[in-house]
Amino acid sequence: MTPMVGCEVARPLLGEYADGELAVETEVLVQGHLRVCQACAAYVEDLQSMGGRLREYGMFVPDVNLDAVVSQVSSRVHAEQEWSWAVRLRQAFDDYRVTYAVVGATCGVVLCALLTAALVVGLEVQTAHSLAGVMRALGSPGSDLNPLLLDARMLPPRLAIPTYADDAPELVDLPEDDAVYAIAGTVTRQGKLTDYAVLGDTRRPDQRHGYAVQGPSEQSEESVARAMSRLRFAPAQAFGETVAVNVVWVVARTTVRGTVMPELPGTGPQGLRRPS
Amino acid sequence: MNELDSATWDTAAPAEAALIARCTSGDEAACAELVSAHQRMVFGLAFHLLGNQEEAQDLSQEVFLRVFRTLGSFRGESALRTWIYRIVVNQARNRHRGWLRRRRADQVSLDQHVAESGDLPCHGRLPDGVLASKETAARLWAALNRLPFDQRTAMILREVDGLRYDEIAFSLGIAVGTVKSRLTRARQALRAELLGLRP
Repeated sequence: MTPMVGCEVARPLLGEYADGELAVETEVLVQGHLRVCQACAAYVEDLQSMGGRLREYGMFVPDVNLDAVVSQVSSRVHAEQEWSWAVRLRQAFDDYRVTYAVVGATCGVVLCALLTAALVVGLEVQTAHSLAGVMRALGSPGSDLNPLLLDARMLPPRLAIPTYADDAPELVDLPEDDAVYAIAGTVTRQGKLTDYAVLGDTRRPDQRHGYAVQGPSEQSEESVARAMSRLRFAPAQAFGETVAVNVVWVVARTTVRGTVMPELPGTGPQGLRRPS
Repeated sequence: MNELDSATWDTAAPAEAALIARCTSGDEAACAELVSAHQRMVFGLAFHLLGNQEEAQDLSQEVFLRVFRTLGSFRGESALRTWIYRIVVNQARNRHRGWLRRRRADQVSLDQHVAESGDLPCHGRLPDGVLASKETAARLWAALNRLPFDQRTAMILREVDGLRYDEIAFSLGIAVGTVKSRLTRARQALRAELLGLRP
Protein backbone atom coordinates (compact mmCIF):
# COMPACT_ATOMS: atom_id res chain seq x y z
CA MET A 1 0.00 0.00 0.00
CA THR A 2 1.35 3.43 -0.95
CA PRO A 3 1.73 5.79 2.01
CA MET A 4 -0.10 9.08 1.64
CA VAL A 5 1.53 12.48 2.03
CA GLY A 6 -0.12 15.82 2.59
CA CYS A 7 0.01 19.05 0.60
CA GLU A 8 2.73 20.48 2.85
CA VAL A 9 5.03 17.65 1.77
CA ALA A 10 3.93 17.35 -1.84
CA ARG A 11 3.68 21.03 -2.75
CA PRO A 12 7.43 21.84 -2.80
CA LEU A 13 7.97 18.78 -4.99
CA LEU A 14 5.41 19.57 -7.65
CA GLY A 15 7.81 21.50 -9.88
CA GLU A 16 10.32 18.67 -9.89
CA TYR A 17 7.45 16.22 -10.46
CA ALA A 18 6.29 18.18 -13.49
CA ASP A 19 9.87 18.17 -14.80
CA GLY A 20 10.31 14.44 -14.19
CA GLU A 21 13.26 15.03 -11.88
CA LEU A 22 12.04 13.14 -8.81
CA ALA A 23 13.37 9.80 -7.71
CA VAL A 24 11.02 6.93 -8.41
CA GLU A 25 9.88 6.37 -4.82
CA THR A 26 9.26 10.11 -4.30
CA GLU A 27 7.44 10.31 -7.58
CA VAL A 28 5.15 7.48 -6.46
CA LEU A 29 4.38 9.36 -3.25
CA VAL A 30 3.52 12.56 -5.14
CA GLN A 31 1.40 10.65 -7.63
CA GLY A 32 -0.54 9.17 -4.72
CA HIS A 33 -1.14 12.65 -3.36
CA LEU A 34 -2.22 14.02 -6.74
CA ARG A 35 -4.87 11.31 -7.00
CA VAL A 36 -6.62 12.66 -3.95
CA CYS A 37 -5.75 16.40 -4.12
CA GLN A 38 -7.38 18.21 -7.00
CA ALA A 39 -5.72 21.55 -6.18
CA CYS A 40 -2.20 20.15 -6.45
CA ALA A 41 -3.15 18.16 -9.52
CA ALA A 42 -4.46 21.32 -11.15
CA TYR A 43 -1.25 23.13 -10.20
CA VAL A 44 0.83 20.45 -11.86
CA GLU A 45 -1.40 20.64 -14.92
CA ASP A 46 -0.89 24.41 -15.05
CA LEU A 47 2.89 24.00 -14.83
CA GLN A 48 2.89 21.46 -17.62
CA SER A 49 0.62 23.63 -19.75
CA MET A 50 2.83 26.67 -19.16
CA GLY A 51 5.90 24.63 -20.04
CA GLY A 52 4.23 23.38 -23.19
CA ARG A 53 3.26 26.88 -24.27
CA LEU A 54 6.76 28.19 -23.60
CA ARG A 55 8.27 25.31 -25.54
CA GLU A 56 5.89 25.90 -28.38
CA TYR A 57 6.57 29.61 -28.43
CA GLY A 58 10.29 29.05 -28.02
CA MET A 59 10.38 26.91 -31.11
CA PHE A 60 10.07 30.10 -33.07
CA VAL A 61 13.56 31.22 -33.99
CA PRO A 62 14.16 33.63 -36.88
CA ASP A 63 15.23 31.76 -39.95
CA VAL A 64 18.55 33.40 -40.57
CA ASN A 65 21.32 32.14 -42.76
CA LEU A 66 23.86 30.88 -40.30
CA ASP A 67 26.32 29.75 -42.94
CA ALA A 68 27.92 33.15 -42.64
CA VAL A 69 28.68 32.35 -39.00
CA VAL A 70 30.79 29.38 -40.03
CA SER A 71 32.83 31.37 -42.55
CA GLN A 72 33.22 34.35 -40.23
CA VAL A 73 34.30 32.22 -37.32
CA SER A 74 36.66 30.28 -39.55
CA SER A 75 38.30 33.43 -40.91
CA ARG A 76 38.64 34.95 -37.45
CA VAL A 77 40.16 31.77 -36.05
CA HIS A 78 42.58 31.76 -38.97
CA ALA A 79 43.49 35.37 -38.39
CA GLU A 80 44.02 34.76 -34.69
CA GLN A 81 46.22 31.78 -35.41
CA GLU A 82 48.24 33.67 -37.99
CA TRP A 83 48.79 36.63 -35.70
CA SER A 84 49.28 34.68 -32.53
CA TRP A 85 52.55 35.26 -30.71
CA ALA A 86 53.57 31.63 -31.01
CA VAL A 87 53.22 31.67 -34.79
CA ARG A 88 54.96 35.01 -35.21
CA LEU A 89 57.78 33.90 -32.95
CA ARG A 90 58.21 30.69 -34.92
CA GLN A 91 58.31 32.66 -38.17
CA ALA A 92 60.88 35.03 -36.74
CA PHE A 93 63.14 32.15 -35.86
CA ASP A 94 62.63 30.48 -39.21
CA ASP A 95 64.91 32.92 -41.05
CA TYR A 96 67.24 33.61 -38.09
CA ARG A 97 66.10 37.22 -37.93
CA VAL A 98 66.15 37.36 -34.21
CA THR A 99 68.43 34.46 -33.40
CA TYR A 100 71.58 36.56 -33.34
CA ALA A 101 69.81 39.36 -31.53
CA VAL A 102 68.58 36.95 -28.88
CA VAL A 103 72.02 35.37 -28.49
CA GLY A 104 73.66 38.80 -28.27
CA ALA A 105 71.13 40.06 -25.79
CA THR A 106 71.56 36.94 -23.69
CA CYS A 107 75.33 37.34 -23.66
CA GLY A 108 74.92 41.00 -22.75
CA VAL A 109 72.63 40.16 -19.89
CA VAL A 110 75.02 37.51 -18.60
CA LEU A 111 77.94 39.94 -18.88
CA CYS A 112 76.03 42.63 -17.02
CA ALA A 113 75.10 40.15 -14.33
CA LEU A 114 78.73 39.12 -13.88
CA LEU A 115 79.87 42.75 -13.80
CA THR A 116 77.24 43.61 -11.24
CA ALA A 117 78.24 40.65 -9.10
CA ALA A 118 81.90 41.68 -9.29
CA LEU A 119 81.03 45.24 -8.28
CA VAL A 120 78.92 44.05 -5.40
CA VAL A 121 81.68 41.76 -4.16
CA GLY A 122 84.33 44.45 -4.66
CA LEU A 123 82.38 47.11 -2.86
CA GLU A 124 82.14 44.93 0.20
CA VAL A 125 85.85 45.63 0.94
CA GLN A 126 85.77 48.92 2.79
CA THR A 127 88.78 51.17 3.05
CA ALA A 128 89.54 52.74 6.43
CA HIS A 129 89.11 56.23 5.00
CA SER A 130 85.75 55.63 3.42
CA LEU A 131 82.67 56.97 5.14
CA ALA A 132 81.54 53.44 5.96
CA GLY A 133 84.99 52.64 7.34
CA VAL A 134 85.05 55.77 9.50
CA MET A 135 81.55 55.05 10.80
CA ARG A 136 82.47 51.48 11.56
CA ALA A 137 85.63 52.62 13.43
CA LEU A 138 83.65 55.20 15.42
CA GLY A 139 81.14 52.55 16.29
CA SER A 140 83.75 50.31 17.91
CA PRO A 141 85.92 52.33 20.32
CA GLY A 142 88.95 50.45 21.57
CA SER A 143 89.39 48.55 18.34
CA ASP A 144 92.59 48.74 16.34
CA LEU A 145 90.92 51.22 14.02
CA ASN A 146 89.76 53.48 16.85
CA PRO A 147 92.30 53.26 19.67
CA LEU A 148 91.53 54.90 23.02
CA LEU A 149 93.53 57.42 24.95
CA LEU A 150 95.14 56.06 28.08
CA ASP A 151 93.59 57.15 31.32
CA ALA A 152 93.99 56.22 34.97
CA ARG A 153 91.25 53.56 34.90
CA MET A 154 93.06 51.50 32.29
CA LEU A 155 95.77 48.97 32.72
CA PRO A 156 98.49 50.35 30.41
CA PRO A 157 100.30 48.17 27.91
CA ARG A 158 103.38 46.50 29.38
CA LEU A 159 106.53 45.69 27.50
CA ALA A 160 106.94 41.95 27.22
CA ILE A 161 110.36 40.56 28.04
CA PRO A 162 111.83 38.88 24.97
CA THR A 163 112.18 35.16 25.32
CA TYR A 164 115.34 34.87 23.33
CA ALA A 165 118.34 37.14 23.27
CA ASP A 166 117.95 37.51 19.52
CA ASP A 167 114.54 39.05 20.02
CA ALA A 168 115.93 41.88 22.12
CA PRO A 169 115.95 45.11 20.18
CA GLU A 170 119.38 46.36 19.49
CA LEU A 171 120.19 50.01 19.37
CA VAL A 172 123.68 49.65 18.03
CA ASP A 173 123.35 52.55 15.71
CA LEU A 174 122.39 54.99 18.37
CA PRO A 175 124.90 57.76 18.93
CA GLU A 176 127.06 57.33 21.93
CA ASP A 177 126.09 60.71 23.26
CA ASP A 178 123.04 61.30 25.36
CA ALA A 179 119.86 61.21 23.40
CA VAL A 180 116.14 61.47 24.11
CA TYR A 181 113.53 60.07 21.72
CA ALA A 182 109.82 60.56 21.80
CA ILE A 183 107.96 57.68 20.17
CA ALA A 184 104.24 57.90 19.37
CA GLY A 185 102.30 54.83 18.30
CA THR A 186 99.37 52.53 18.84
CA VAL A 187 99.51 49.33 20.84
CA THR A 188 96.96 47.05 19.23
CA ARG A 189 94.81 44.43 20.89
CA GLN A 190 97.35 41.88 19.74
CA GLY A 191 100.12 43.77 21.52
CA LYS A 192 101.88 45.02 18.39
CA LEU A 193 103.08 48.55 18.03
CA THR A 194 101.69 50.09 14.89
CA ASP A 195 101.58 53.50 13.29
CA TYR A 196 104.62 54.48 15.30
CA ALA A 197 106.74 57.48 14.58
CA VAL A 198 109.91 58.85 16.14
CA LEU A 199 109.18 62.42 16.94
CA GLY A 200 112.02 64.69 16.02
CA ASP A 201 113.50 67.44 18.20
CA THR A 202 114.56 70.45 16.24
CA ARG A 203 115.92 72.43 19.18
CA ARG A 204 119.61 72.93 19.53
CA PRO A 205 121.20 71.08 22.44
CA ASP A 206 122.34 74.27 24.10
CA GLN A 207 118.77 75.53 24.20
CA ARG A 208 117.73 72.71 26.48
CA HIS A 209 117.82 73.18 30.15
CA GLY A 210 120.56 71.21 31.84
CA TYR A 211 120.44 68.22 29.47
CA ALA A 212 123.03 67.40 26.93
CA VAL A 213 120.42 65.98 24.66
CA GLN A 214 121.07 65.26 21.03
CA GLY A 215 118.24 65.32 18.52
CA PRO A 216 117.70 62.16 16.50
CA SER A 217 119.70 61.83 13.41
CA GLU A 218 118.26 60.08 10.34
CA GLN A 219 120.42 57.05 11.03
CA SER A 220 119.39 56.80 14.67
CA GLU A 221 115.69 57.20 13.75
CA GLU A 222 115.90 54.19 11.49
CA SER A 223 117.60 52.22 14.20
CA VAL A 224 114.94 53.16 16.74
CA ALA A 225 112.14 52.40 14.29
CA ARG A 226 113.65 49.00 13.55
CA ALA A 227 113.83 48.26 17.24
CA MET A 228 110.23 49.45 17.75
CA SER A 229 108.92 47.13 15.08
CA ARG A 230 110.17 44.17 17.10
CA LEU A 231 108.68 45.20 20.38
CA ARG A 232 105.83 43.12 21.83
CA PHE A 233 103.47 44.30 24.54
CA ALA A 234 100.85 42.90 26.81
CA PRO A 235 97.88 44.90 25.47
CA ALA A 236 96.11 47.53 27.53
CA GLN A 237 92.91 46.59 29.30
CA ALA A 238 89.82 48.61 30.13
CA PHE A 239 86.88 47.21 32.08
CA GLY A 240 88.30 43.73 31.73
CA GLU A 241 88.57 43.85 27.95
CA THR A 242 91.59 44.18 25.73
CA VAL A 243 91.69 47.53 23.97
CA ALA A 244 93.98 49.31 21.58
CA VAL A 245 95.47 52.54 22.92
CA ASN A 246 97.53 55.41 21.67
CA VAL A 247 100.75 55.84 23.61
CA VAL A 248 103.79 58.13 23.61
CA TRP A 249 107.08 56.97 25.10
CA VAL A 250 110.05 58.99 25.98
CA VAL A 251 113.21 56.93 25.58
CA ALA A 252 116.39 58.50 27.03
CA ARG A 253 119.91 57.32 26.56
CA THR A 254 122.42 58.60 29.03
CA THR A 255 126.13 57.97 28.91
CA VAL A 256 127.96 58.14 32.26
CA ARG A 257 131.59 59.01 31.89
CA GLY A 258 134.06 58.43 34.66
CA THR A 259 136.89 60.90 35.51
CA VAL A 260 140.61 59.90 36.02
CA MET A 261 141.83 60.62 39.55
CA PRO A 262 145.25 62.50 39.82
CA GLU A 263 148.11 60.34 41.20
CA LEU A 264 148.80 61.12 44.82
CA PRO A 265 152.34 61.08 46.37
CA GLY A 266 153.23 57.71 47.74
CA THR A 267 150.89 55.85 45.58
CA GLY A 268 151.69 53.50 42.82
CA PRO A 269 151.09 53.92 39.19
CA GLN A 270 147.42 53.12 39.78
CA GLY A 271 147.24 55.91 42.32
CA LEU A 272 146.98 53.55 45.21
CA ARG A 273 149.04 53.99 48.19
CA ARG A 274 151.39 51.15 48.77
CA PRO A 275 151.23 49.78 52.24
CA SER A 276 154.20 50.60 54.17
CA MET B 1 12.58 16.08 -27.88
CA ASN B 2 15.84 17.43 -29.12
CA GLU B 3 17.82 14.95 -31.13
CA LEU B 4 20.89 15.38 -28.97
CA ASP B 5 18.89 14.72 -25.82
CA SER B 6 18.43 11.11 -26.75
CA ALA B 7 22.17 10.57 -27.08
CA THR B 8 23.63 9.49 -23.80
CA TRP B 9 27.05 10.59 -22.62
CA ASP B 10 28.44 7.12 -23.21
CA THR B 11 27.44 7.09 -26.86
CA ALA B 12 28.19 10.74 -27.50
CA ALA B 13 31.56 10.90 -25.78
CA PRO B 14 33.73 8.99 -28.27
CA ALA B 15 32.36 10.89 -31.24
CA GLU B 16 32.68 14.21 -29.43
CA ALA B 17 36.18 13.40 -28.24
CA ALA B 18 37.24 12.59 -31.80
CA LEU B 19 35.70 15.80 -33.11
CA ILE B 20 37.36 17.85 -30.38
CA ALA B 21 40.73 16.23 -31.04
CA ARG B 22 40.45 17.08 -34.73
CA CYS B 23 39.45 20.66 -33.94
CA THR B 24 42.33 21.21 -31.53
CA SER B 25 44.78 19.84 -34.10
CA GLY B 26 43.65 22.55 -36.51
CA ASP B 27 41.39 20.54 -38.78
CA GLU B 28 39.25 23.14 -40.53
CA ALA B 29 36.66 20.64 -41.65
CA ALA B 30 36.19 19.49 -38.06
CA CYS B 31 35.79 23.09 -36.88
CA ALA B 32 33.18 23.69 -39.54
CA GLU B 33 31.44 20.49 -38.52
CA LEU B 34 31.36 21.54 -34.89
CA VAL B 35 29.94 24.94 -35.75
CA SER B 36 27.34 23.46 -38.06
CA ALA B 37 26.25 20.95 -35.46
CA HIS B 38 25.70 23.53 -32.74
CA GLN B 39 25.06 26.85 -34.44
CA ARG B 40 21.28 26.51 -34.52
CA MET B 41 21.21 25.64 -30.83
CA VAL B 42 23.57 28.49 -29.95
CA PHE B 43 21.69 31.02 -32.01
CA GLY B 44 18.35 29.89 -30.58
CA LEU B 45 19.47 30.21 -26.99
CA ALA B 46 21.18 33.54 -27.69
CA PHE B 47 18.04 34.82 -29.38
CA HIS B 48 15.83 33.73 -26.46
CA LEU B 49 18.16 35.28 -23.90
CA LEU B 50 18.80 38.54 -25.73
CA GLY B 51 15.56 38.89 -27.72
CA ASN B 52 17.38 40.44 -30.65
CA GLN B 53 18.31 38.76 -33.92
CA GLU B 54 21.41 40.81 -34.75
CA GLU B 55 22.74 40.56 -31.25
CA ALA B 56 22.08 36.84 -31.23
CA GLN B 57 24.04 36.39 -34.47
CA ASP B 58 26.88 38.46 -33.14
CA LEU B 59 26.85 36.53 -29.89
CA SER B 60 26.89 33.23 -31.79
CA GLN B 61 30.08 34.25 -33.50
CA GLU B 62 31.66 35.28 -30.21
CA VAL B 63 30.59 32.01 -28.63
CA PHE B 64 32.24 29.87 -31.29
CA LEU B 65 35.39 31.94 -31.16
CA ARG B 66 35.43 31.37 -27.42
CA VAL B 67 34.80 27.68 -27.98
CA PHE B 68 37.80 27.34 -30.30
CA ARG B 69 40.04 29.37 -28.02
CA THR B 70 39.27 27.23 -24.99
CA LEU B 71 38.51 23.90 -26.58
CA GLY B 72 41.93 22.64 -25.52
CA SER B 73 40.92 23.03 -21.88
CA PHE B 74 37.71 21.02 -22.29
CA ARG B 75 38.15 17.80 -20.33
CA GLY B 76 34.79 16.15 -20.94
CA GLU B 77 33.41 16.91 -17.49
CA SER B 78 30.10 17.43 -19.26
CA ALA B 79 28.68 16.92 -22.70
CA LEU B 80 30.10 19.29 -25.27
CA ARG B 81 26.63 20.69 -25.82
CA THR B 82 26.27 21.58 -22.12
CA TRP B 83 29.72 23.14 -22.12
CA ILE B 84 28.76 25.29 -25.09
CA TYR B 85 25.53 26.23 -23.32
CA ARG B 86 27.61 27.48 -20.45
CA ILE B 87 29.64 29.69 -22.77
CA VAL B 88 26.48 31.07 -24.36
CA VAL B 89 24.99 31.89 -20.96
CA ASN B 90 28.17 33.59 -19.77
CA GLN B 91 28.52 35.65 -22.94
CA ALA B 92 24.85 36.58 -22.84
CA ARG B 93 25.12 37.56 -19.19
CA ASN B 94 28.01 39.88 -20.01
CA ARG B 95 26.00 41.50 -22.75
CA HIS B 96 22.96 41.70 -20.53
CA ARG B 97 24.94 43.57 -17.90
CA GLY B 98 26.09 46.05 -20.51
CA TRP B 99 22.56 46.39 -21.77
CA LEU B 100 21.30 47.01 -18.25
CA ARG B 101 23.87 49.70 -17.76
CA ARG B 102 22.84 51.38 -20.97
CA ARG B 103 19.15 51.49 -20.29
CA ARG B 104 17.86 51.28 -16.77
CA ALA B 105 14.19 50.67 -17.22
CA ASP B 106 11.87 51.41 -14.35
CA GLN B 107 10.33 48.01 -14.25
CA VAL B 108 8.67 46.31 -11.33
CA SER B 109 9.87 42.74 -11.31
CA LEU B 110 7.41 39.92 -10.91
CA ASP B 111 9.39 38.74 -7.92
CA GLN B 112 8.68 42.07 -6.31
CA HIS B 113 5.03 41.77 -7.29
CA VAL B 114 4.83 38.34 -5.67
CA ALA B 115 6.60 39.61 -2.60
CA GLU B 116 4.13 42.46 -2.25
CA SER B 117 1.00 40.42 -3.05
CA GLY B 118 1.99 37.32 -1.14
CA ASP B 119 2.76 33.87 -2.43
CA LEU B 120 0.29 32.32 -4.77
CA PRO B 121 -1.97 29.63 -3.42
CA CYS B 122 -1.36 26.24 -4.87
CA HIS B 123 -5.06 25.68 -5.35
CA GLY B 124 -5.62 28.76 -7.51
CA ARG B 125 -6.44 27.40 -10.93
CA LEU B 126 -5.70 29.33 -14.08
CA PRO B 127 -8.92 30.28 -15.83
CA ASP B 128 -9.94 27.87 -18.55
CA GLY B 129 -8.68 28.84 -21.93
CA VAL B 130 -6.05 31.22 -20.69
CA LEU B 131 -3.21 29.08 -21.95
CA ALA B 132 -4.95 28.26 -25.19
CA SER B 133 -4.89 31.78 -26.56
CA LYS B 134 -2.00 32.84 -28.79
CA GLU B 135 -2.13 36.28 -27.31
CA THR B 136 -1.75 34.80 -23.89
CA ALA B 137 1.22 32.75 -25.02
CA ALA B 138 2.85 35.90 -26.28
CA ARG B 139 2.17 37.62 -22.95
CA LEU B 140 3.56 34.60 -21.15
CA TRP B 141 6.74 34.96 -23.17
CA ALA B 142 6.82 38.67 -22.49
CA ALA B 143 6.45 37.94 -18.78
CA LEU B 144 9.32 35.49 -19.09
CA ASN B 145 11.46 38.21 -20.61
CA ARG B 146 10.72 40.45 -17.65
CA LEU B 147 12.07 37.91 -15.21
CA PRO B 148 15.55 38.41 -13.78
CA PHE B 149 18.23 37.11 -16.11
CA ASP B 150 19.15 34.10 -13.99
CA GLN B 151 15.56 32.93 -13.56
CA ARG B 152 14.78 33.49 -17.21
CA THR B 153 17.86 31.54 -18.25
CA ALA B 154 16.93 28.63 -16.01
CA MET B 155 13.39 28.58 -17.42
CA ILE B 156 14.55 28.72 -21.02
CA LEU B 157 17.14 26.01 -20.52
CA ARG B 158 14.51 23.83 -18.87
CA GLU B 159 11.37 24.46 -20.86
CA VAL B 160 12.71 25.39 -24.30
CA ASP B 161 15.98 23.49 -24.51
CA GLY B 162 14.84 20.64 -22.29
CA LEU B 163 18.01 20.41 -20.18
CA ARG B 164 18.04 18.34 -17.01
CA TYR B 165 18.57 20.02 -13.67
CA ASP B 166 22.20 18.92 -13.44
CA GLU B 167 22.88 20.19 -16.94
CA ILE B 168 21.28 23.52 -16.11
CA ALA B 169 23.37 23.67 -12.95
CA PHE B 170 26.57 23.13 -14.96
CA SER B 171 25.56 25.63 -17.61
CA LEU B 172 24.84 28.30 -15.03
CA GLY B 173 27.68 27.34 -12.72
CA ILE B 174 25.38 26.88 -9.75
CA ALA B 175 24.14 24.07 -7.50
CA VAL B 176 21.18 21.89 -8.45
CA GLY B 177 19.30 23.19 -5.39
CA THR B 178 19.69 26.72 -6.70
CA VAL B 179 18.32 25.61 -10.06
CA LYS B 180 15.21 24.25 -8.32
CA SER B 181 14.63 27.43 -6.35
CA ARG B 182 15.10 29.61 -9.43
CA LEU B 183 12.65 27.53 -11.44
CA THR B 184 10.11 27.61 -8.61
CA ARG B 185 10.32 31.38 -8.29
CA ALA B 186 10.13 31.87 -12.04
CA ARG B 187 7.04 29.65 -12.31
CA GLN B 188 5.34 31.42 -9.45
CA ALA B 189 5.99 34.75 -11.13
CA LEU B 190 4.63 33.52 -14.47
CA ARG B 191 1.51 32.10 -12.83
CA ALA B 192 1.02 35.38 -11.07
CA GLU B 193 1.09 37.08 -14.44
CA LEU B 194 -1.39 34.65 -15.94
CA LEU B 195 -3.76 34.70 -12.96
CA GLY B 196 -4.31 38.38 -13.64
CA LEU B 197 -5.45 37.64 -17.20
CA ARG B 198 -8.86 36.88 -18.56
CA PRO B 199 -9.40 34.76 -21.68
